[in-house]
Amino acid sequence: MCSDFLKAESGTELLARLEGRSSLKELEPNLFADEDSPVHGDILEFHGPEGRGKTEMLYHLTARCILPKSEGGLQIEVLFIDTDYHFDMLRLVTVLEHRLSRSSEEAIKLCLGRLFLAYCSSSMQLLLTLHSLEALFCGHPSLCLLIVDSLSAFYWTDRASGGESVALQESTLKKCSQLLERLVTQYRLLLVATTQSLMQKASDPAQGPSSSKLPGDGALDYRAYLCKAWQKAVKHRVIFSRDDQSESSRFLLVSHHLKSNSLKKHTFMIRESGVEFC
Amino acid sequence: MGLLRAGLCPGLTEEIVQLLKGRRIKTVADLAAANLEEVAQKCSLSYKALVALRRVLLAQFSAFPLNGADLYEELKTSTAILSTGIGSLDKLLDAGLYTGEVTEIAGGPGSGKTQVCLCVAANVAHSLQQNVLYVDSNGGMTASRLLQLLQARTQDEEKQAGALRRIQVAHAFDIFRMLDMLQDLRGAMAQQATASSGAVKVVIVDSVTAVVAPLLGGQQREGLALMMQLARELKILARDLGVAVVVTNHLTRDRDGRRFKPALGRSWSFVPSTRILLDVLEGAGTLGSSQRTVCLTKSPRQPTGLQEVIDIGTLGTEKQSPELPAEQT
Repeated sequence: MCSDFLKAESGTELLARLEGRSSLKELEPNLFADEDSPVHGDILEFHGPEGRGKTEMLYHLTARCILPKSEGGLQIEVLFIDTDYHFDMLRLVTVLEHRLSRSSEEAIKLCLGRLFLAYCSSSMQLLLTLHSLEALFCGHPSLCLLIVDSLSAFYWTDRASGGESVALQESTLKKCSQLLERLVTQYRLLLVATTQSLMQKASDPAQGPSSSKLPGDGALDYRAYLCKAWQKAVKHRVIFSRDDQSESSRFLLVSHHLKSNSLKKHTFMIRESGVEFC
Repeated sequence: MGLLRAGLCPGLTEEIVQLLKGRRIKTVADLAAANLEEVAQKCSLSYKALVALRRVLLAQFSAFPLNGADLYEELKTSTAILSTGIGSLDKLLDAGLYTGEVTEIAGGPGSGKTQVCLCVAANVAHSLQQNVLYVDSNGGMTASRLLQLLQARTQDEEKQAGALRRIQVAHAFDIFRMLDMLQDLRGAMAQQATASSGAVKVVIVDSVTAVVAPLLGGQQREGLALMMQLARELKILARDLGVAVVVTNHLTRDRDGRRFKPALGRSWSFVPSTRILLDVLEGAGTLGSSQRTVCLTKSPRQPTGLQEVIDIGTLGTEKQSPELPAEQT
């Protein structure tokens, strides 16, 4: 269906598409353990318990994208899919106000005009929404960032409604993961999805069969519980935690590039203006 | 959801449903993922008709992306901040309870959760003149205490009666009753005209632990699914109907048995956007002291760790912030 759109693309549209999609390199280098990232078609997973800065990081990335180039942004469009009514518009506006050199209602509205929001209330609705997005991606060549917050929101509901078969319980999320992978590759997007840390960390790292082990670092606080299709699709996993020891509230993120198995750590703080790396 | 049947959308006849079933396309998702050219060939149906059908069904069942600027305009006019009536608590909450959000009050037994809820109800009903729904699930709500709080605010019996009329109390001792109640409220509010004077502005659920805790534990997945359904109902109420939702939660011991944490586990911890912890003031002396500490442990706009002291014995009589109508951001 969309091949018709692509064939009819004009020269300016083509340039806009290529230009827009090449500027993701400056998005936030601190999030990537790999030198070459982010590339289009990359899939990032933000993982961690509540209150560890995942949502703030999403606002940081969103602000970075929708701010105009004159204010240090990338001037590209973002689609934010909210699955648990978590998105706080007023907080995003506060972050934007702090980052604009001259903040005015006009400027804010201009930035927000580059943001699209979709609210999904079930995994089936998420799947159907993803199917219907092709038109949006075709019509908005400067839409480069797709955020899903969070992918694990329907986990318990799906598990209870799938009967006894784990495959049936996971089937909708599996289809969502596969579709996300296809959309991201086809339309050259960057996907950032958050998954909540719903399971307790295995008390003995050696026992947990799915806790990931990394060279010289002990076990990261990550227990895989979502479907295998998603585990395979993720290229970078960023694990958020909090430095409880220090007086000032510092947050820690560990970025793990799965293919090359490389790690990178960063600390950041959350201020009124959003995320600030230390 | 989304099983294909005749009449689901214009153009979907029984004949088409049967033909699609023959190609193992039974749901809307199957149709969305199918290769329509192939299906049109094999079923001898019009390709154009199938594409149109798919478009209509997707439009019906998927979420439509909204523009951020439009959403912001809407939120600016519909969000309100409601003062709790307790000055130091308002400071922690950044002026008060925000509509569109779920705020959790966690604390051990006797920490004052119900007292704070009653004070909020009294303040919203009397000073802010807005309607309140108080859902009581553990029998801690007493009308006499509510009257006491109102009497401390005004001597005028007419005003006291007026405020009491604005507070609707409902009892729900199990989760199904609570879910029904919230769905009924949603239905009733959706039918009323916008900005009608009868609209509920605050919904207090005291406590959510009482109805959810019995469902958790063991290997049952249904319990967690029901809890998440309740969470969703509360959030939809807050977001779509512009209500400030307040829930109370108990505390349980940490895994290593040393510290206390809010009950209901990790999955619930993601639900409220703001959480305050009530605790008895350390070294407060004799039993029965009414001093409590309030600590902000989760907030979308304030740094966590802020702490204040309140006196639950004098909640009704302390120096109040002056009577304000509901503030608009």
